[in-house]
Amino acid sequence: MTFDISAFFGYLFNDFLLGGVLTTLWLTVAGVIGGLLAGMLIAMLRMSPSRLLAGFARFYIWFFRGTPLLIQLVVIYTGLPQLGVKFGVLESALIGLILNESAYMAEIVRNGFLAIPEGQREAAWALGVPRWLIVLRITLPQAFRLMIAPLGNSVNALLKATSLASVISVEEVMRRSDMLMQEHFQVLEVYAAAAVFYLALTSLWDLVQRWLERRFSRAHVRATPEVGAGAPVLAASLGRVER
Amino acid sequence: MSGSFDTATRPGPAATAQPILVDILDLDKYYGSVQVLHGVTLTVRRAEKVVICGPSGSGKSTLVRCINGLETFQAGTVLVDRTDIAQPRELDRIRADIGMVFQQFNLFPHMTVLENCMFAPVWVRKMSRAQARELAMHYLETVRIPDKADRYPGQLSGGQQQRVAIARALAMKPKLMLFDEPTSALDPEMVKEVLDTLVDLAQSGMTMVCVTHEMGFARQVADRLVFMDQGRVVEAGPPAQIFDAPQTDRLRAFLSQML
Ligand SMILES: Nc1ncnc2c1ncn2[C@@H]1O[C@H](COP(=O)(O)OP(=O)(O)OP(=O)(O)O)[C@@H](O)[C@H]1O
Ligand SMILES: [Mg+2]
Repeated sequence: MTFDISAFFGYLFNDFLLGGVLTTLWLTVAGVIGGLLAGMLIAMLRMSPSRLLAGFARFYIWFFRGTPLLIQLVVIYTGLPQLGVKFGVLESALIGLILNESAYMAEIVRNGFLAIPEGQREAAWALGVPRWLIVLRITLPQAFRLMIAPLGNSVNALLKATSLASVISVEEVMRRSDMLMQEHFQVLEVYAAAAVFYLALTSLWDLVQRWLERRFSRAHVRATPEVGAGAPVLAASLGRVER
Repeated sequence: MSGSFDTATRPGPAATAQPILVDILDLDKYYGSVQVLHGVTLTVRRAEKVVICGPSGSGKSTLVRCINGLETFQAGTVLVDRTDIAQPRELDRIRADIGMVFQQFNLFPHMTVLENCMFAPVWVRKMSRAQARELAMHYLETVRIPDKADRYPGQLSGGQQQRVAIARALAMKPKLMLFDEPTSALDPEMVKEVLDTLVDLAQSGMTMVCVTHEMGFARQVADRLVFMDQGRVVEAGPPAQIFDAPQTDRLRAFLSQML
């Protein structure tokens, strides 16, 4: 047996597999957005002065980060019906991914906010800016910049973790690769193509992440304080990212 | 000087003729079980310049931060323009009328200099962007830094950042300005540019409460100097009296260290 190159390329342009790529993509996007929104909520609870709410958030994070996504998915799809709670395949996958992702996001969001100096909030308070606006326009944008790197890792991990949804028969790339493999027995060719798809998606995300980093660090150029005619030096350092 | 500080009130003929703007009565403040302010009483009249000095840890920052509600207190009252600062509903409204300049500048790093100065006028005063821009540029000219309007704070020197912080506060047209050691975080060569700005502001008739160790500045602009030690106002009076005829050993010891 050898590696059948033409079969491999055939899988790269296989409509059935490409359909799976789309499913993987939207599962990831929905997981990120849902996870981020839920994560922000959990982070807010975690930072709230109420012991009850903070305790709940702490438990939530501990629980969903401490158990495998695979178990969460199986329990939601095949376990909960035992208790009379039924979700469809895609619903189950989304719920599992969002629950799991939000636990990670909550910690990322919280760390981002904790890193903002108290002076930022105080300066805004002193100007009479209401609290909700301080979060929206002062602390969140600054925290977001700090969140981009850990968020990037998390999204990358989520992208690959969507493959676990194949276990509950969501037809994303992994599941459809399995199906093709069982049909044609070209194990290497099929999974090599699947790997290429994942690589393409993670690379695409890398580009997005790099764009976000540039976009949000524009303001944070740490130029040497201007002394006399320091302008050219400043201009040259404008693209540099503060570390 | 290019721009000018146009404050609503010019200094009146006699300071006592002016209404009381800040009225602090018997203020007690605790951090946990530690008392850091002991029955502090202080009034500031409109257009008056009060400089607060004292050794580290004497409660100067705490007192100033009680005036705009950045700190809560356990007993006593703080009235600003006859409004009780302890009323949480009023707090944002009162704060909008009180400018504050911090030791660490606390500019918003993700906004340009101009955006820093426009933010509160637009969002708190509900000014149009065009109006706010004009106002912000006016005060940036006043602090002599209009050419840096489109820079980010991280691209400015400490002295420049502090002058922007002053412009940002002034753009709210405050009735009162609080300063907590505005020059303490600056390299020596930048202290003067900020003090010059403060002197200009003082001459415009702004009401000012300023914590500082700059005794030359205090002598030049203060109507009244307040000396604090261990959470108490120990002595208060015109600079000449405080510097040349200190009544207490504690003040004498403090002054001898400062000179
Ligand atoms: N957040 C806090 N928690 C507990 N104690 C505090 C806190 N902030 C200040 N203190 C204490 O309160 C006292 C007064 O502090 P404050 O900062 O008002 O002094 P200060 O006169 O401004 O000193 P400095 O000249 O060093 O700025 C000090 O003993 C300080 O240790
Ligand atoms: Mg202090």
